[in-house]
Amino acid sequence: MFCPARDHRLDPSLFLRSLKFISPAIKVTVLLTVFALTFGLVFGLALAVARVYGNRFAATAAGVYSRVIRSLPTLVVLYIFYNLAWVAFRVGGVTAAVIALTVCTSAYQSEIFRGAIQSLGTGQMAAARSLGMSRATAIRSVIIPQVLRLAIPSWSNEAAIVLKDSSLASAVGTAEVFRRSQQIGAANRDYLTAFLAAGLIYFCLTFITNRVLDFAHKRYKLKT
Amino acid sequence: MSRKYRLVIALLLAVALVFSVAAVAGCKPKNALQAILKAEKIIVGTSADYPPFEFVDVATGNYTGFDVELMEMIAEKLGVTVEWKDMNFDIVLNSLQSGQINAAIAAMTIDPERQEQALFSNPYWESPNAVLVKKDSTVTVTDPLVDFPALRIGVQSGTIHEKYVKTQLIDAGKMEAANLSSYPRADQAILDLVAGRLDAVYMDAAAAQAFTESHPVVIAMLHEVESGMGIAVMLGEQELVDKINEILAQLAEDGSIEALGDKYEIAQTLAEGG
Repeated sequence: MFCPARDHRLDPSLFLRSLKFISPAIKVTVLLTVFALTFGLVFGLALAVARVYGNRFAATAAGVYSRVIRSLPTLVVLYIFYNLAWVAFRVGGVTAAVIALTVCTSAYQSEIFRGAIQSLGTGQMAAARSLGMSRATAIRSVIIPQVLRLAIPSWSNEAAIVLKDSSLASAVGTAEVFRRSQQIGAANRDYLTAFLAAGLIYFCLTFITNRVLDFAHKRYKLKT
Repeated sequence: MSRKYRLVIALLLAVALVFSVAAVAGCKPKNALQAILKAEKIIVGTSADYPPFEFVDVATGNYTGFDVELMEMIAEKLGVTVEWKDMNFDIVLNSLQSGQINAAIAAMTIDPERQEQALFSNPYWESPNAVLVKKDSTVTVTDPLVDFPALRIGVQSGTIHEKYVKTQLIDAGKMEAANLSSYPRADQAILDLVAGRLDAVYMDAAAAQAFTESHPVVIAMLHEVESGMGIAVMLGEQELVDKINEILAQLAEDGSIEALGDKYEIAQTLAEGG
């Protein structure tokens, strides 16, 4: 019978040292996540608008992009960009990781925002147009603000996913939380403790993110 | 119908364009040694999760280990500094091929498959392999070729140890494929050994020695097989690898490599083994 306590000697001081060793990497994880989510939001929103309001070409292109990217595991996209980004633009690990994470999350976010736009209904656009607004103005001033507020719960889910996917950047050498836990796990020959420490860190980060977004949702949700 | 058709063509052309850019851009002139000397630094890739060859010094946060120090010595002789790039082991050769790193040192055993992807230096270290069993286990191994088939063996995937068992025993029909378990990391195999799901683990002796200190496992036997570790550079970089070989020969002659082996307590041959 495998007994962790007996066979593995879980050591609290080692746990604390692992935490201390991994902590400096937290800002890398956070930065990766923030960059990916932000660029992903801008791009994803643009894609969603193209899907719903764009001409046939834009809508199809956005749709194909979304379907293709969502069919690929993030790790595969990461490895593809790791090679492509270097060969084409001479940028390496971290940048490739941010690009890959952005590409993946933009596809999922485009689906989130597309769903939110469609749940708004056609009434908003019709009303705005009848007031004399151009389509562009209507989209910018009427549709998008409401879509952003409607999408918060689903977006909160996506934010947690991107935070956890940032751990994939370790594969291409980004010194974020997961890579640091692998390193200290190896150095101390105790991976269990190292990954428990990493787990605690990810849990705290995700918890904080979700709470902040829950608050935003309560504060900004549409009164229907 | 024709609009969708046009779109598909457009997408295929875009993909083709990307690939041709990639293919052309990948063909750089081969003069890494000149570039390194000019930049006064060599970019070296490793996977700092494999003590005692490369790992992190927890106190300082710096990379340390046999491979790390060896590379630093080589760089000193070259008159350049080392810029270390840490990454997952499976992407090290990939980074070398794409040119993101000039050289790679990661306890990589030279084998024909790897030699198709990179150019290796002369072996700088020859490490025997070890068979690990659980402490107080009744399993005895005197010759892997004879004893392995009846046991449940664990190896790390992608290693020469996995290849050895597969080609010598499983493909030869002497052993059931189900008796071999491959793990992404060596420590996972050790955990299964301790849990009783494996009878023995076959891996590099130096790393095995390290595991005996932290887990209830012992080395049942040392097994010497042709397995030298080499420094890898991009295919075609003959000048660079020649220079590295020259320096390795110097370091071997003045005893530096042996001193490193003593420092990290790893044995090169069965004679010193333990």
